[in-house]
Amino acid sequence: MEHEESLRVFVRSLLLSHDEEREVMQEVAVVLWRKFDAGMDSQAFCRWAFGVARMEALAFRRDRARDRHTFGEEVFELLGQTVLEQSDTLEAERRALGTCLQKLPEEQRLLVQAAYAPGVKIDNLAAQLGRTAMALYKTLHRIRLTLMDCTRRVLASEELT
Amino acid sequence: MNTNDPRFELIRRSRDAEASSEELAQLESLLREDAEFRQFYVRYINLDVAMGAVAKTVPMLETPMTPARPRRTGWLSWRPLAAAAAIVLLGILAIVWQQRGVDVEVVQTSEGISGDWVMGSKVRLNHVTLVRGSVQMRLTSGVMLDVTAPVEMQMVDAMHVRVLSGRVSADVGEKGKGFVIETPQARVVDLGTRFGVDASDAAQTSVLVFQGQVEVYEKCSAQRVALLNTGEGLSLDNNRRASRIVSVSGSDGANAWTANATAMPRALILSVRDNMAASDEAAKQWPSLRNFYSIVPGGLRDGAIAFSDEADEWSNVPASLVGADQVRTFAVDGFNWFMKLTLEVSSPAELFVFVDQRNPVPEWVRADFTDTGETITLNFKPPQWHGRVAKQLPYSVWKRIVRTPGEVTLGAPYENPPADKKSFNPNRMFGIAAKALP
Repeated sequence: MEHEESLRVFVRSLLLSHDEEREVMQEVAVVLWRKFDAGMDSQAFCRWAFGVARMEALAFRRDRARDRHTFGEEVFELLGQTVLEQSDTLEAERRALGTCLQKLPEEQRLLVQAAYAPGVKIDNLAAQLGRTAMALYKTLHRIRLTLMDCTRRVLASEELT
Repeated sequence: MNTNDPRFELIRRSRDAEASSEELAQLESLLREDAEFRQFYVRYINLDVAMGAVAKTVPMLETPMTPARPRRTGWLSWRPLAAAAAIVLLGILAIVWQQRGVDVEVVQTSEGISGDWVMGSKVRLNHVTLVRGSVQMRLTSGVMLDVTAPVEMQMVDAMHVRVLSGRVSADVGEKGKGFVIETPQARVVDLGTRFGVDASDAAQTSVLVFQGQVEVYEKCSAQRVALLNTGEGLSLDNNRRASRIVSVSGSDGANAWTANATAMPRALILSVRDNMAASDEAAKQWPSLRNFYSIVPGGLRDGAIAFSDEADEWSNVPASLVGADQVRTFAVDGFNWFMKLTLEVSSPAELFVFVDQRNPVPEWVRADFTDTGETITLNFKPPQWHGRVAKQLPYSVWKRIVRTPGEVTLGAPYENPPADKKSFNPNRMFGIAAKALP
């Protein structure tokens, strides 16, 4: 799907949950296909697709996760704009991630692989490692921040060369 | 804002479901009012999403992580097998048993498979070569595998199988999410689903999703090729080219499907194709179309799945049509006014189309088919959370006699795009069936 990664980031930014993002993205893909207008250009498609994703995320929260906090419409709109405006940078950072993961100490790299493997529950992984889930969440957060700094440095060095 | 900023901890707590309602309100306020914070928030989310994709593409862990305190693993408690590495020939089935293997429960076997392969028994497998017949086995992860000869595969662990050649279907339950099938060309990661992999052709791998969702990665580069949903499939060749699988024959339930039309010479409908092939203008406009048509010989009956990509079923099937060959179209195509379908009919047949009664009958149906006056019911089953309700939709049954084997072309559910899409109440896609001429 065109713009798929940007849409995925947008949906995750609205819902924050990987599992919810996956369910909503599946529904978004179906709606996009059903209502696709062959006459749309890429930009129009992108705007429309983000609108569909916003509606599907709202519908999901309304129907399936009423107890969870839902951002207001204004924040939905602002996050959509931010993802679209930064889409080139975000894509470049995703490309740089592979390089940055290789620079991590082995223990951290293995932890990322284990924590992000499909279907892995952090609680279970923490128990296997003899750590608390909260400690593991914090470690992964620090690794993400390290990777954020790294991807920015990689992109800066690419601009210089 | 740099990554030492304490507000990142607020993002983390929200992401890890630790944030209080006050903290979530604070996050929302920052997202609304602080453009710089919003940018960093999106960057953090972007990285989080990308890490999930990248982690799945790198090779499996070879070095175990060190736990903080020693604990016994499942391996330590396994009793060694006396006949480690012995080769046991079981009639037509040859299996290499080894001490390092994967425990499976034999659920079902086809006729002719004997020896220790008793239904309900437990065996440990490493390398499996199935020369003839079929076996259904359950792994300790809950994953059910249907293996049909000829096949050669390696059992890596309860969540990972390598298919060196042949056809395997997997029914993955809740516990088995993340189950991986590797082939010479692809790495298929299951996200909770029923799917099939065919590596019979050494030059390519076919992946079909019957229910749920899988991710397909190139074996060598580990790049993700596609996220496939229910009713979607693709072939990946040695040159890393991915192509759509347009039609599939056989039942998906018992690993009896094939993407090779000539493998089912007795079927009335040998293949289905549409005008969305890669060279067509429509395909360029929708390059990620991965839906396939399912041909199910003798499959039409009450409760038969109607579409390859939805859970809808046919009911109130007219007695004269029970047991007819069925083509599952894909429901997402119901909004389509430009698609043409071409059926390859193998012998003289009665060809039927089932048309949603809520809108005018398309002109091509009126021109080429006659109304039998009979109806069939579509049990419409939308995803429950989506606010839509299940309902029963009457379809009218139209018939055409095909006396000369060859190609038959069908049109789209609509002749033209609706002028007013907002108030448009769309049909579901039409259904197709065929019976041999008496």
